[in-house]
Amino acid sequence: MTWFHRLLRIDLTRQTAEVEDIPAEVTAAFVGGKGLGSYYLYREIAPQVDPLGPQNKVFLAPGALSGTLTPASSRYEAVTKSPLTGIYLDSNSGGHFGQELKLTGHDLVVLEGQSSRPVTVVIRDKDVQFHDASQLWGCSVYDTESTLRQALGDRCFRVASIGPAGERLVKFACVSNDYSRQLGRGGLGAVLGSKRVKAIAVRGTRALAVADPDAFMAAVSRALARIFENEWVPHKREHGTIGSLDSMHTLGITPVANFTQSVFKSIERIDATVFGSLVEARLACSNCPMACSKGTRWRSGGAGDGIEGPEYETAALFGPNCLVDDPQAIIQANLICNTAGMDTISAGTLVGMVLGAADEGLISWAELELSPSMSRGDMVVSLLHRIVHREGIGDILAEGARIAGETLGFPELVPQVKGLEFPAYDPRVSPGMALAYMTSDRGACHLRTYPFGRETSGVLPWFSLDQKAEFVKRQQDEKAAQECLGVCQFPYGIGLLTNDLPTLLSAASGQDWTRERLCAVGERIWNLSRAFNTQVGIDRQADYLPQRFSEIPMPDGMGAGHALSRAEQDRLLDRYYQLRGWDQQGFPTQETWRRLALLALLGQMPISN
Amino acid sequence: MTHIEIDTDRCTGCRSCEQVCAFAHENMFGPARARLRVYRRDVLTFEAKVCTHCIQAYCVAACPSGALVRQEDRTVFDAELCTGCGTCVEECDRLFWDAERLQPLICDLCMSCVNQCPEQAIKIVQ
Repeated sequence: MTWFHRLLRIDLTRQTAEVEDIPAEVTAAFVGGKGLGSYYLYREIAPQVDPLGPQNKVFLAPGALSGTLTPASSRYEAVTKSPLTGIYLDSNSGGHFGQELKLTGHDLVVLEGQSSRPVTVVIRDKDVQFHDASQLWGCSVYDTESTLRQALGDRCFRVASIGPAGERLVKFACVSNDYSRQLGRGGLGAVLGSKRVKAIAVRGTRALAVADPDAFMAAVSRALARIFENEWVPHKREHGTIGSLDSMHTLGITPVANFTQSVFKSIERIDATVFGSLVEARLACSNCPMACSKGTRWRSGGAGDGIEGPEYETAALFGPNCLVDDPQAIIQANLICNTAGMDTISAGTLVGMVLGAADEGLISWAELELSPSMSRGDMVVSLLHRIVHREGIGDILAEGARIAGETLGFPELVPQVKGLEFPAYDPRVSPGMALAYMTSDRGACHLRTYPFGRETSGVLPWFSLDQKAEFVKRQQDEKAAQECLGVCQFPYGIGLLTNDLPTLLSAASGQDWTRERLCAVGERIWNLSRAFNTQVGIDRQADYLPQRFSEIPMPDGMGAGHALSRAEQDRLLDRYYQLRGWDQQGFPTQETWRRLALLALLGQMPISN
Repeated sequence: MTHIEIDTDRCTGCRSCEQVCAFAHENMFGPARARLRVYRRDVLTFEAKVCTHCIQAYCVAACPSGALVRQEDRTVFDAELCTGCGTCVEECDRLFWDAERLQPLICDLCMSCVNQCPEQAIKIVQ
């Protein structure tokens, strides 16, 4: 079976661990990964808890196919209440931690309570130990991982850790595993920091027998063949996501100067050719035939200073969005975030916003303790260091862009939805991405659905509102299902484009899984996260873009003249809510709750309509 | 000697080889059952370990029960004779310990990893 049906509950306050059964009806309804984490979050966390208090919990869940040979089955999920947004958060990461975690014999690990001292949680199969981490407190992510693996005396241990940013409760601190893979968004690193968990080290030596080995291996071969037939794959194998920077910029969606423009005059200094020439290694997550990750090194930084990346988002946000055209400065910014443990997307958008505010004269360079004569790259680096250490203005910026914008007096500039900073797509240039940002369960996100590819390829009408709600809703459901399986979207495409994933799950589990059944799981998760969010004040008002994106048209590039008016956003939301079975406020209706079997699984909807 | 060679310049560290190795021998997944290992050395580099069936065969010399022997140009393992003392894995880091069965795991040149590697980084050499 592809599940162990075991939950490991770790009480950090008492430093004890217990194992509980996960009932078969729960895996049938929520499968694994995002689904399992969301189900237990909903059951166990009172929505009003302080995200950085002992009552918040972290649910770590590998996917249903993690631990098998399924291509690209590397990803594990973390679900919690976010300290950055105050709402539902899930985040997932690749590398090799997820596979190792699954093979400890657990489908879900729950971290609860709060340790009184810095601690490393060491999970070796059934055995759980709490090691004093006082000596590691203050160490970078890279040093923490190397030191722990050596101290534990087993090179097969996989480590997820926080850096100094998480320790100082920077609200967009991440959790990093395998050095350079991250549970990036939403501040999970601060949640672990508040619990004084410096690291989680896992070693899983269990074996996993699938239900029908012959059918499973045949499905693996078919999936691999299809991945290598996918015309999108060779480009990502060769160039990684940063290979898209030139085309995204040409299409006018890459943000420039704090999401005010889309033409960056010196784009050729940081294009795919430039970064391609810096690549030193191709790196893959567990069982991935694509290896999209490209290793580079900060050339001024000595032998230890490698990164996986920069990825498209990082390069676009620290590059054009901060008006930086020096590839080494972008790599350095990435490396600072990696070692300190900070999300490069939130950091890039935040720093871009602050520099944009200074460019517009809304804050003085002196207040930022920057000199206008500095290079833009040096400005970015200086601000990042101060955020990590919460020094001076860094203490305000460490609260995230929404609070920083409000505190510093330019709330209208902040590119965010529900408190999560925009990724590197200007929503004015894509009504589909706009709706993706508006409706994402954790705030502005490009990973819940990605309509832009279909808009520019002509499958969806680009600047039209037509079919966007339908596409976004369907792909959100499919993508959530994909995130229950622990597989990466890149080799397979986003969602359930073929029967490969349901076939693999069927062969692994001995159950009958179809795309429709998995899609229903995804829909169930979207209603669960929305029901959680409605209890912390999320309603229709929280689903709009910031005003400037509806009122100020894009001045240049392929999207010139476009914005998304409030009326247009209303049209998108009305249709989206209708498709979801939500009311005009964006609350799931009792009927929808019942239809998805949530009434039977979890009882009454918390907010009645 | 005939043996598996892993080109760490081509290797991306996906470790499909470990999974397919476990499956080929055990009909189950789990890299702890694999007869080869790819370790992460640092952010950008790997180290791969697999038996080279070397002529010195320190493991054979160390084995007190005759479970590891040389046959033609390779080292072979007889589980029936193994007493689980673990001397072989102390002697050589290209054999791995099966903590379930208390026996060493040694490459038997089955070629599963060679066939599975998406980067063609693994080959069999003389």
